[in-house]
Amino acid sequence: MSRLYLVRKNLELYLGPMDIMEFKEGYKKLKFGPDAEICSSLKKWVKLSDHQRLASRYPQIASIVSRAAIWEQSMAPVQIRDDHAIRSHFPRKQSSFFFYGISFLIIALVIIGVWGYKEGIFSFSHKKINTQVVTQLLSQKKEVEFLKYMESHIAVIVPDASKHKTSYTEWIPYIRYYAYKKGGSVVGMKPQLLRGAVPSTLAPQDCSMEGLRSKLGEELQTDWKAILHGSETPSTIFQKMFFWDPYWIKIRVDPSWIQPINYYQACLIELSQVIKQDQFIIPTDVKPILEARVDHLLSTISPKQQGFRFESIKPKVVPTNILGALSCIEEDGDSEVCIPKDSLAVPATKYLAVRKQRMDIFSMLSSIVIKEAILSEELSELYTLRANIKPIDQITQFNYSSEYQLITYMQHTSGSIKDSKKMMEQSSPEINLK
Amino acid sequence: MHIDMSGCSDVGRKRKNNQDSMYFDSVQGLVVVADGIGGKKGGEIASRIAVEGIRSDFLKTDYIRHEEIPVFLTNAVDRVNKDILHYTDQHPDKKGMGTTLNCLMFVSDTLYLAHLGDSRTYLFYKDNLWQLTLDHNVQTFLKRGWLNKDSVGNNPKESALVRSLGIPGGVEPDIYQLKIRPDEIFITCSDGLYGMVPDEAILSIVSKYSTNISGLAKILVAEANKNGGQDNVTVVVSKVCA
Repeated sequence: MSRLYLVRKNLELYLGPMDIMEFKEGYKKLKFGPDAEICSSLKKWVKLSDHQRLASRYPQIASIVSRAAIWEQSMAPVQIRDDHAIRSHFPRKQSSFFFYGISFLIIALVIIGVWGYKEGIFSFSHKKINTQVVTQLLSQKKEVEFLKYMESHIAVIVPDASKHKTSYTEWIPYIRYYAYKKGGSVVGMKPQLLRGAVPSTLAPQDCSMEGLRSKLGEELQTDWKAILHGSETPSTIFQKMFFWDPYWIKIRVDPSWIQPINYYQACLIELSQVIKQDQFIIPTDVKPILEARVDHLLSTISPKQQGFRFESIKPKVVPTNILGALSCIEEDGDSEVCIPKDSLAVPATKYLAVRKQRMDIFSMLSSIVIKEAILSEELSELYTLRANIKPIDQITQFNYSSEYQLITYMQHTSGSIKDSKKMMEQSSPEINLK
Repeated sequence: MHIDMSGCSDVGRKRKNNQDSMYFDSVQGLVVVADGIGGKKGGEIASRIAVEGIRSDFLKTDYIRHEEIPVFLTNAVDRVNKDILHYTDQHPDKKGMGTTLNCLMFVSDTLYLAHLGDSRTYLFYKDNLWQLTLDHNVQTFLKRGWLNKDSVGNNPKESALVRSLGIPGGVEPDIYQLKIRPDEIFITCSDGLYGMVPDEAILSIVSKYSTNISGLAKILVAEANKNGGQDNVTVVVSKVCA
């Protein structure tokens, strides 16, 4: 009996059955990530991020997962120049072979030296390229100088970061900062390295302006009106971006990002530009709605509002479409106002009701985390809300298990928010609880 | 690819009536299994409403795109839930009746599976067996941290259902998707099967009779009855053939 595994993503999508090699390939190609679960025949499901259980139940799988790192994915070194082109051909004479051989060697060394200097590999100035300089510039809020520094050294930084794990880890926050000021791409760096570990089921693989434009190009047949009415469920990653939850995004920090705060915000920044610049694909009456939605998402995720904070704004406009309704709910509007049952299809109103309940959970959690105090009725209400709503969003596939886990910790610590936060910091360090 | 199916539903050895219902059609690629809850034949009625409702909605549908199937299933489940609640409004003596649901739709090379409650669907492939559906009961929800121990009292019945049809306020089924391949066998069953036959035994039986799909469902039901038959037992087997 060959050992086979089944992988489950987001409690909804099954991949496999697959053997160990297929698993390795799939994990390497980011077909599934740490949020996924795995199970072999007659065994229990284990999350790939649960290293302890994974090591004890599926040691081979644990070994693959722990070794895998983004920078190890199939990456041919960036070809700057073909050294094999540098060849000399001298006519051979037996008597002067040694002389010509030495001459060739010297000339070749000189050429390599000149090339290496031009590429900065042998340059003395390369020794000065380290992150101390850029760190200092950013701490002094000298963004212009930072961008200039990156511009002038990017041809050296990117190849080094692409080849060496240490350099990648050191430089990627700054490369990303630079890239998303320049349209979301950097010459010589593959989109997946910029993206990091975000699964391709949650966000586009390439959130550069070019990448998103090409995605937009695939949307020619999209019936935007049906999506806005809620009679059609968004099916492409591009369409789903408009349904993203800004609160889910803004509390998820990643130390390998400085600005934007994570890949999702980066995608929205570029998406905003792509929509504004589009003139052919998005219908003219739909474009303002999409623009408004992305603007709302970005303003909610903005640096001023970072952290586990819920801002209640009380919307003024009654929405007439599903995206407007989402924005309304996210501004703490009431269901009666935000969910216009006459303008939307039934599936949409159901979906919005679920989003509203998730928003209620978040706003309660936010208040509790800030106050650092909880009443037993509040905890009870949180449990009820949580039991009614699945942790995975039907459209965006965003996973709210970490938020749900915080509620569990509050119970386990008998309402001690300080202790709950400490437990969260250990189990879910990606959640910003400040 | 095409699907071969067989099904069997039995009252078991101890119960007086069968509250399970099932429907399967290998041409349409549809399987529905429901295990009713509630006394005074309420469970029987609820499970029949569920199966008939899903079947009827499915047969009315002319053409459906892949991306619309999860929405279709969600809507269909919501409709049968309303039908059950409407029935209890009309017949107050049946108040509290409900049912589990497992609905499989084979569409092209994909299986869509809508699930509520503790009926299960297993996947068998090359002598391996996996439980695809997550039981919607207290035990599973406590383990996953989705339920607080305090909210279920001191001695919670771990098999008590947390989600099922027949609940006011709407229900949200789990919708699973899986790309199918030849020789995969899906076993959809009520708890009357796995309550009496351990998973290892299910694997062993399916492995032995994997080429005899037409008889496999009956064999599994017979095994459950041989082990005591404490509950109604329903099994539908679906095999993907090249």
